[in-house]
Amino acid sequence: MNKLELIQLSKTYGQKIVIKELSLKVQSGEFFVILGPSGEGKSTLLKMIAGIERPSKGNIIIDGKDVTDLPPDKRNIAMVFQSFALYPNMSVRQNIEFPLKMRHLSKQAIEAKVKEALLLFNIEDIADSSVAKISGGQKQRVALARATVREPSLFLLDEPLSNLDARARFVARGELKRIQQTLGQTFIYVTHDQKEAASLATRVAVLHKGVFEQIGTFYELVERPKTRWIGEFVGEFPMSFIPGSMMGLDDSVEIGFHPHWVSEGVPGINCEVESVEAVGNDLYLFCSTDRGVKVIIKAANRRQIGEKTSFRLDKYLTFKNENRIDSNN
Amino acid sequence: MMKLSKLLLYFTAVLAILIVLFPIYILFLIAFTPVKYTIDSVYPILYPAGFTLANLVTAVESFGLEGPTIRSIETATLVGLIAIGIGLPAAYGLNRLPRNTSGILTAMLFLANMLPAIVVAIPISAEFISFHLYGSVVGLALAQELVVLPLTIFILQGALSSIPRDLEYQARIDGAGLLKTIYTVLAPLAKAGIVAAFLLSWMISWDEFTFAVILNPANPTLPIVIYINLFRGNILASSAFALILTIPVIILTAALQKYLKGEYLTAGMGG
Ligand SMILES: Nc1ncnc2c1ncn2[C@@H]1O[C@H](COP(=O)(O)OP(=O)(O)O)[C@@H](O)[C@H]1O
Ligand SMILES: [Mg+2]
Repeated sequence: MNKLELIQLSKTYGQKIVIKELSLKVQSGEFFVILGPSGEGKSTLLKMIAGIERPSKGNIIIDGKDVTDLPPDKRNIAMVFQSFALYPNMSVRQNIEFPLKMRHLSKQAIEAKVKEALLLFNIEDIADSSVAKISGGQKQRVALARATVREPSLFLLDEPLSNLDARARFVARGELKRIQQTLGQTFIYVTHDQKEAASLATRVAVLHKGVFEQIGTFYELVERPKTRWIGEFVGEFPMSFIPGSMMGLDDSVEIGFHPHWVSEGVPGINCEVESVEAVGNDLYLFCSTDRGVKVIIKAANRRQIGEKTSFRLDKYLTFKNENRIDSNN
Repeated sequence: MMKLSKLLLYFTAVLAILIVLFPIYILFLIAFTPVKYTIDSVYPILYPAGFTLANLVTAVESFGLEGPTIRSIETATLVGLIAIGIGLPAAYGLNRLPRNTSGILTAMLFLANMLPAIVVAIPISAEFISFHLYGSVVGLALAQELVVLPLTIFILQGALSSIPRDLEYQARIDGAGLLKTIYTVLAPLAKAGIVAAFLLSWMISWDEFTFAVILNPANPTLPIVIYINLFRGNILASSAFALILTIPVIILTAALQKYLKGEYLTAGMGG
């Protein structure tokens, strides 16, 4: 059954259209990532699912039930905010207890569940600390513990790792994946970070101009972008585009390719290295071709700035009017 | 140069304090000095020539002090409670409206304040008679809310607007209804503003005169009793009552210092 279904959902603020007739189906147990640059309306979309923002049009269905007109407290969802939104006047334990108390569970039940959550997130030792006195990583765990403790039907997470430093983020990413698999629950996870989408998602939806421009696995987004914009947005580096005539086609089409789709140092298109960037053991070259087109290619050899080289396209996609037109590869 | 301007500053400050404190000094002087040096004297003195508690004892014994004091405390406390009880959800609601709308509404709240109280009090007393609220503590408290509520709402708006919206959303998602969110999550975080608003309301009611004299002439509050005694020439009793009126204000003002931070008064105004 679909865990979540959005039907023709729209949101406008005055004249500004933020979400435009967006439809979506998410299956139970998915780790569904909504990816997009900031300001595209990711938080707005999540808030509509949570019941904090009212859609201008359309319907939201959770577990087969239309919840469009229900307030957040009647939707049985959990949410983790970017800011973690811990109640600052309460201790860690009180924060985790809060959703259970609001649901009038018995004292023993609350105690048992809180203990379990403290254990699951490895925060027993700070249970009675004030949330003002704990680290960012700990805050994130407390926020997650509070979200999971009452076994909601759907988890909404709004960039929950963006307030952590790089090291804590890496740890938390692995932990999130583990938690989601342990709980077997459905996560709707919003981020602007490619790495999070790549490492966490079962499916990724890219939000652009109020609609999902493409939905698929991260691999599909990188290998088979539907539009030029997706090609430029998804992936470690943006796709490069050259005029069709450089590949023997006409200039009404563009040829797009990712850096790793080329063989560098073999005859083909000539270019000059303008800058070099290392990622792990790989070297990426920012080059300018004979015709002045800028491209990014993965280097096969050590190259210096100003050096001349050439490359061959092992794979490429053809785009016309911003959309991909080839369907074979 | 620097020194002179500093000196001038101190001088002005001291002068201001003296001007403010002088009436209170006179009040204490009359209350605790034997009457022959003060009100019975042709040339009253300005320094304490003796000390006595007899004045207070006489005043308390011969004029019904208990009734008005208790009534004043009841009214002021009720005014404070109603102001917070209604003011908090009202401030919350105003903060949630688009800024232009809430600005206009807040301005309109103060409109009732701009009319002379006496103009408002007369139609109110007519209505209250038909509601059996005339002459009651509850009725007087409700009338005083007219003056108190706009100010309380304004202060509470400031206090609430400093709380991040995410906390409120989180509470709703965690299962708290709207009122529960306001009273269990937002209120504790707006504590300082709430205390400040309560104390201010309490003090405004405590020395409110116009509504009290028109709506409760038969069951007077302290300021009315002072007025009546002054009117009848009982300066001693007036001083005693005035003393009773002043002491809580001094204590509460001191308490208020702690809570009345500038931010609560300005935050609501922020564009
Ligand atoms: N309450 C609001 N009133 C007007 N515009 C808003 C409001 N909330 C969000 N927006 C606008 O909607 C757009 C999407 O915002 P948001 O959902 O926060 O994007 P994201 O989370 O993807 O960064 C932004 O351009 C923002 O300015
Ligand atoms: Mg956002």
